[in-house]
Amino acid sequence: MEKPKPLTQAAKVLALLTVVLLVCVPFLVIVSTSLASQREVVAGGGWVLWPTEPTLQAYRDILDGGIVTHALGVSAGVTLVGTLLSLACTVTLAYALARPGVFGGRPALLLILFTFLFPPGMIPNFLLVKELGLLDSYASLILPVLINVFNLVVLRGFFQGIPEELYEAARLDGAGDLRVLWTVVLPLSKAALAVVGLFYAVAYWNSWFYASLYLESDHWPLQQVLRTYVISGVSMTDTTLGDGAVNAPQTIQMAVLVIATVPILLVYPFLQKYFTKGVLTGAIKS
Amino acid sequence: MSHVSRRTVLRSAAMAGAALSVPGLLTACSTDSGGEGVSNTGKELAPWPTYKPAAAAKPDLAATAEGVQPGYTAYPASLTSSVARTPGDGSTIKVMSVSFGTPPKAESQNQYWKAVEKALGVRIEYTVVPQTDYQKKMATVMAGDPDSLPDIINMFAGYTLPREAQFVQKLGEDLTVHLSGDAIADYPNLANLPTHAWHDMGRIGGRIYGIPLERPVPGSTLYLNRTMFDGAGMKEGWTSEDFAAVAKKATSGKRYALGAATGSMFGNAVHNAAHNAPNGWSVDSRGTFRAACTDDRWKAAVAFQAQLRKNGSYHPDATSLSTPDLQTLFLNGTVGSLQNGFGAYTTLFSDAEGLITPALALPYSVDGTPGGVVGARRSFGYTILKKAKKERVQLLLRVLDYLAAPFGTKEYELLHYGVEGVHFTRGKDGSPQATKLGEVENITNLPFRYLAEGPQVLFVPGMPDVVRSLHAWQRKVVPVAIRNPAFGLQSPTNTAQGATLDALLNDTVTAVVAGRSPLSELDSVVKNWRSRGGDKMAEEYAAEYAQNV
Repeated sequence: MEKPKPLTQAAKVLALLTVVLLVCVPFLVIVSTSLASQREVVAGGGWVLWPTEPTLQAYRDILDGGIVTHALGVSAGVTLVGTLLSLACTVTLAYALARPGVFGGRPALLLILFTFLFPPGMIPNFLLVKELGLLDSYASLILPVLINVFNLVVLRGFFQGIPEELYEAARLDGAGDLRVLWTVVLPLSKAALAVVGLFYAVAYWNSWFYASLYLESDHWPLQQVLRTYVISGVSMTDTTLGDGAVNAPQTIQMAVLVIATVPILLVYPFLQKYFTKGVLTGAIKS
Repeated sequence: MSHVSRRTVLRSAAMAGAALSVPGLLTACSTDSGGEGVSNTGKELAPWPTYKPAAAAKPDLAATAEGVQPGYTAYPASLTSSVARTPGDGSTIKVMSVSFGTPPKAESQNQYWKAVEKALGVRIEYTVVPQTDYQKKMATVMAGDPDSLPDIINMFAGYTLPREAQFVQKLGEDLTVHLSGDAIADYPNLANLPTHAWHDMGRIGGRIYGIPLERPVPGSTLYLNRTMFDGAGMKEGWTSEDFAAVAKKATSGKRYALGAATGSMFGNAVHNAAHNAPNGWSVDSRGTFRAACTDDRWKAAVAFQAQLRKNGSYHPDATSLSTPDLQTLFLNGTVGSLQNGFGAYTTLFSDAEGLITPALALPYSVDGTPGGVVGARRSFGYTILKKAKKERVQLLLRVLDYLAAPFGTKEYELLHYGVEGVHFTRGKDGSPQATKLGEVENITNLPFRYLAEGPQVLFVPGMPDVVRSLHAWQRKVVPVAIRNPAFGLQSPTNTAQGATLDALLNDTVTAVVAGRSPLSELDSVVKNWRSRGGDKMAEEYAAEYAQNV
């Protein structure tokens, strides 16, 4: 292979360095600002690239009092339980819909796709949760969103892509549907399961909106609690009411970003290798 | 595989959509639009509650009849009691209010919560609603069944809720018999709420359904960097030309005299008032309502702002800066002014210590006519009660009466500062200073103040000079505050279309000041605004006003 010219090499390094900086500097600014004093942040016009006197005060302010740590536990629990339940339900339904000749499979698929195209609004969802007696229970964050149709379609496509001969071989060996699913389909679908699992986990982790509708504040998950640190007073712009807008310091807002982002960032590297393979395979198989 | 054709899906969807839309259509055709029921026109109006001022701590700076607030340069040395007995009976009450804080600690671990419960004699289940979620949360509350409503609900004035008045009238307790006229004497702290607050809250169908959260006269206010503006030649009694010249002189390099946040239309409210344009609406002696946008002074204010922008006096990001970012730029001296609610003083002066010296701007005169300032709605919202038996309603009103305790009472201190030694300690001047626990457990995070609150006073702990300057400023501007005569009046058109029509006008004003649209664009948008509902609103307000005068 021909050795690249030094100029080309330098241009490539420069281009890559620029991209790396474009990605890394915003992260650095967020972390630095969260570690700076509010005074330094004000002097810097809202941002700090490198704090002169780093302090953990913003993190102490957020974590003092136990509200955020409790919410962290809630989010972790909902994410773990929700992801496992969602995966179990999605896998079983996707498998049933992927197999030919299942009784009622086609109408069921139609109904499911209908909810994908026409999702219920906020009020019908609220009334459903209320009628099921789920208000102010953690189940309200999981049950109404237990199966995501997009994830279901991806998994169904993936299962349909598994050669029919494998199913037939398992059947000849006397395996029932559950055994086929457990011993043949799932081991072959690790990539898709990892991706769908990640989708579910991220969705549960980031979920905040319905918590404010269904749960009292002492049951809120992390994202909803952290959100209140960021938005307190921000949009109270109708100042004809006389009250002034009061804002959380920028240091706290940046610390919130760090706390909300880091846990999910830690998961990504372990699952990334499955990512492209899993989604693309599931999406394009007929 | 089972095959689902696109046509099949669309056909199913169309059928289901048609089926679902029928109930909605029927509702839309219903004669129960509610506009008549909630209107005060043609109804016998319940008299406002009789105002009886409480014997509060004597202020260092006196209030005036025009609406200047009482000022306290030091915390009152001795506190009085405003409530004779514990209001509750040990029962549980559910309450819900907007919140501008972070979530409160759970009741079992919250000493502030427990202390207030003990004082009130009730157990409180509190649903806090972050203000950005308020509309959505209220939509679910209004859609739920009446039995599951909280006992006490705060109706926040920051948003217009669809069919709010109809909801209150149908599911809220009619409090007229408890509060109207002299009946309010049973609740002395509620009787201490001035009539203007009740008036701006308004009646529904001629009856009283709520308790207002009183607010002072000044609304949107221009906060200045005094050093920057003094250095550029600011003087009392300035004219619009002086203002433009000072703004131009104070702007240099990366420093701009004028800052504005997104959505504020380059701080349009204060310029409108300085030009003496109506604050939303005006009413003449014959009771005819005219919208501000149909007034030449409104157009002149926009033209003046466009000139200021052309002069380069505005920060270039004035249409996109968030309020927090603007405040940061104000505190570090990048921008020399910002428009905010008058209440911003409670935190602005302490935030600015050691950075800049903030001051409240006096209005400039235009063509020889002294300018005005924005008059706020005197009610920040109101509190309603779920329908209940008479004894229960009386209990809930006693609880609200406690929460409305005035400044300088033991009840006010407990509610606003918590328990001494636990949530606050005394500063040198005797004013409460929050402890570490008090920064977490307080009335911001458990917002009792949005259920009921005594009349607000001017008091900034440890900053007596700030109180004096605020009081002096109020003495000058309160007499020229421009009030919106539509406050407290019902307009079904405004409820249904007000937000959309406001956006139509506001976007055009922003575009004209930013230089994206010519000034003449204002005429066509006003015409559009009037035909799409503005004129109807004027008629509705006029009819209500005639009844209320």
